[in-house]
Amino acid sequence: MLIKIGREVNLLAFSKKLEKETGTDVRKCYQCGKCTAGCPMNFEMDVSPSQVIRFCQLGMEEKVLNSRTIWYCIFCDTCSTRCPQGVDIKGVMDGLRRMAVARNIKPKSNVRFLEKAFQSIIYLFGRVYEPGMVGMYNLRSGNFLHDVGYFPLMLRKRKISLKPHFKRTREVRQVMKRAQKMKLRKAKELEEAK
Amino acid sequence: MARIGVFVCWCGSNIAETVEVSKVAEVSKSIPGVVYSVDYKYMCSDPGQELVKNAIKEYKLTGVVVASCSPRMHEKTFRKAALEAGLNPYMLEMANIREQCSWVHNNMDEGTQKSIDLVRMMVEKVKRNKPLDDISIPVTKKAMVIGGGVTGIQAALDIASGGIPVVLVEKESSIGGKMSALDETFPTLDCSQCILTPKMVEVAQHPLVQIISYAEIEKLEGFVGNFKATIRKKARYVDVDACTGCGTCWQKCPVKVDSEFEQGLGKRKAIFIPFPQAIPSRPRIDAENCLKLTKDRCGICEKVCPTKAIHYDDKDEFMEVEVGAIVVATGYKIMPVSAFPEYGGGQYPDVVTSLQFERMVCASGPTLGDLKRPSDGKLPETVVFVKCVGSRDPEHYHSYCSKICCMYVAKQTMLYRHKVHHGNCYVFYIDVRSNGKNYEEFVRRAQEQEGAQYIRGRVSSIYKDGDDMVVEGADTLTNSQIKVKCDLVVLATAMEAPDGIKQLAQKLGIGYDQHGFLTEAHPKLRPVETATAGIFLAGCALSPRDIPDSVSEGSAAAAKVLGLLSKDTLDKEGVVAIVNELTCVGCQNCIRVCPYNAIELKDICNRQGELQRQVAHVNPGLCTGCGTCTPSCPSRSIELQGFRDTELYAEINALAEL
Ligand SMILES: Cc1cc2nc3c(=O)[nH]c(=O)nc-3n(C[C@H](O)[C@H](O)[C@H](O)COP(=O)(O)OP(=O)(O)OC[C@H]3O[C@@H](n4cnc5c(N)ncnc54)[C@H](O)[C@@H]3O)c2cc1C
Ligand code: SF4
Ligand code: SF4
Ligand code: SF4
Ligand code: SF4
Repeated sequence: MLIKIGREVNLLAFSKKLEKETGTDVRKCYQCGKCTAGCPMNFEMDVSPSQVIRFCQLGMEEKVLNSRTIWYCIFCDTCSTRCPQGVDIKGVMDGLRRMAVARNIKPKSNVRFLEKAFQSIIYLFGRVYEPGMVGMYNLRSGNFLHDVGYFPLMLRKRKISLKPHFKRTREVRQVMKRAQKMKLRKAKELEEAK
Repeated sequence: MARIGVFVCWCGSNIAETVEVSKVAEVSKSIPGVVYSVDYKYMCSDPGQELVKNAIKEYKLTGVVVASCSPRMHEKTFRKAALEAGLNPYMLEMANIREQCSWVHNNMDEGTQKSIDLVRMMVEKVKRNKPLDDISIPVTKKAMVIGGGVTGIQAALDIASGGIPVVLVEKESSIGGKMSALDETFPTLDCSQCILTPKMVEVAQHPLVQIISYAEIEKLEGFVGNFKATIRKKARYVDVDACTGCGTCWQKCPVKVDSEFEQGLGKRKAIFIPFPQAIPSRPRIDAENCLKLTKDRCGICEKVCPTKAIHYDDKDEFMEVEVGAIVVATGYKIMPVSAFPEYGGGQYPDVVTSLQFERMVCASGPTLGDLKRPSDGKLPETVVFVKCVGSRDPEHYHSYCSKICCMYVAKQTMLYRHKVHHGNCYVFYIDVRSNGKNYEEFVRRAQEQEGAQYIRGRVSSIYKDGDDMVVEGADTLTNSQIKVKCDLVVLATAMEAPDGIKQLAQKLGIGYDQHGFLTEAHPKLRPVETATAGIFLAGCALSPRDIPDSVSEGSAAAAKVLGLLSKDTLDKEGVVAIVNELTCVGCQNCIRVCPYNAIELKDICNRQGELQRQVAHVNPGLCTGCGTCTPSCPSRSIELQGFRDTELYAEINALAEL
């Protein structure tokens, strides 16, 4: 891999853009690796969390927006809590996801189906309804029996229930609609900025 | 009639580029009182100073204004030149046309005009200046060193060998500091005790050194050359003069508690010396654990002592010493494992600090150098060292690098491999900082010849799995997570300022930084001085350092002390506050505001010796000329010499007259 910087690419431009989007200055990272060391999802990632930050420092926008990593981060906050330099890694991951969505970059995982299923369920019930969500996810991803084997045990342990509960559906829908509007506005702004 | 000379400097192009110096000199001639003016390329050079001296003589100048750089740079130079030409040095003032003018302007006309204004102000001031005399204060030819680690020992030895008596005050019952607990030392691997104990003995036997152990500074009064310190000798319950150090008492004492010297890995008695080579080799009783002092039982030590040296009714004692200079060498402490929750927070006995590891491998340690892990005494066959623990972590602990852990970790891997030839040792690091003589070579040796395996990444967590410890870290060079199962984990925890250091600094009137380390007067040019004249610093009291640096600084501070105390009197600038006793109403405002406690009340008595009234009086030895007192006086009775109201108003008026 050859990284071209200097006259061709301004290293700082992407860091600055990211700081605007996420409030985190990735230049503070000194690559100690503590975030990578503790990340529970690292085994699924193609680029480790500290490497994501490094690519951001080098202005390699395409590389990070097209990585699997940003879709596999589960927002557990382990990295940000432990980072000695106060870099909010999970916030950066989230910002990168938003950037990828705004640019219509397809996630490198089935996570987008889960996301869709999650949103639809929330829209319908106002809260999570696991059997419905997993069913919807399995339909979309084409992997119909995925995780179905866990159902009886989880039912027995009362981790899930077959009956959906409804909770403040009207308000939740309002919130979601407004968020959607904001997203569209943001996307338009980004488009215009270009 | 005032006869003032004005000397305008170009400072090469520094001033001349933005200020028309010849014009400044020319216009100066028209200021009333100026009889001579000139510009020159480098006023501070020898020919430049000659110019000033000759003009003073030739034109019989009564005052001089040098328009050049900040008075911080060259006021001394020019005032000395004035003195050599027979003019009172305080009749020379500087107009700062560099820092305050050429460096902050880029327009020639503006720069020139401002320079003329500044010169005009100083001419008006110098016309009203009064000649002042330097103040000479007597000096007590004795020094005090606070802290008896290797730094303090070195300072005390060097001062004493210069012929000046030294009082060495140590908080613990023995001198020696942290170095006495180390095993072998980088980068030569010589045994720490073997090189330290001869120095300890030397300082103890030196006729000019008085060691006061188990003592702390209670109070400090006075000023450079004339300090008076009150030392609290903490109750030791042992008469050190009667005691012969025979050891009967600590053999017989029934109470066993964790030894601080052994970092909690070994035991000591309630009456104890911290380690066999302790100096003075006199025990003390730990009042918190002694049965006699807590429950009025036991009393064995008193019964067995052949010289009747034990006194359970001992009390803290206070002694006063008068000294001319002080060296503060109070060292450091290291962070405990309990400060790091993600590394077990102290719940696992097999996660230890680096200082504990030193004791575990040391031949004089609790296991006599037999390496055993604390939990079950097993020989650790895999050891993980974690660097930068608590250092370089501004988010949770300290922003600074502890500077020496990179080196002692490399050392400890070698000490480990010398004991366990087949053992594995891993080092988690972010950077390897090895900038000292033969240091990089030492670290390379650990990796290339001694089998230390370095992994570049920080450790995220440490936990227990059965009998094993598990370290979860990363290797950022391959971007993978790394899990190591091991027997023992050694944390290179950060070096911190020792307990009680802020209180000590406040008593001494010296500064400390946000971490509690003491601050030097100038980080480059005055590295062992404090902002308080006569008090010096050395060693880890300033920030983390290794032994070579600490010892060098101990010697450096000693040289400063010897320089100071080589004179019989100290000369001090005449810029001090003086009270007009006729108008002072004794309201004590100035006494309250003076940051140096330099002002006291003075009785004014009539001829019969009856008290008439009280007025403020400034001790010129203590006054630093800060000027805080002058604006506080409602009757304008206290004035700072060299900055009197008439002088300052003249300056301001000169500007207003434009
Ligand atoms: C694990 C470890 C390994 C190390 N290995 C090496 C090595 O191999 N080579 C090397 O060069 N360096 C090594 N060092 C560093 C070395 O310990 C220090 O450089 C050295 O001890 C500093 O000496 P000091 O006198 O400044 O401080 P200290 O040794 O801390 O001495 C300070 C003294 O002041 C006393 N004191 C504190 N406060 C007061 C007070 N208020 N009043 C009176 N007295 C007070 C203390 O009791 C102590 O006796 C190591 C450090 C550690 C932690
Ligand atoms: S923990 Fe923080 S400083 Fe360390 S690599 Fe990750 S983002 Fe960078
Ligand atoms: S927040 Fe994301 S990147 Fe950070 S540790 Fe959790 S999963 Fe990994
Ligand atoms: S000396 Fe080395 S181990 Fe210690 S804090 Fe600095 S970089 Fe980290
Ligand atoms: S000039 Fe400063 S030190 Fe001197 S008496 Fe006034 S306030 Fe105190």
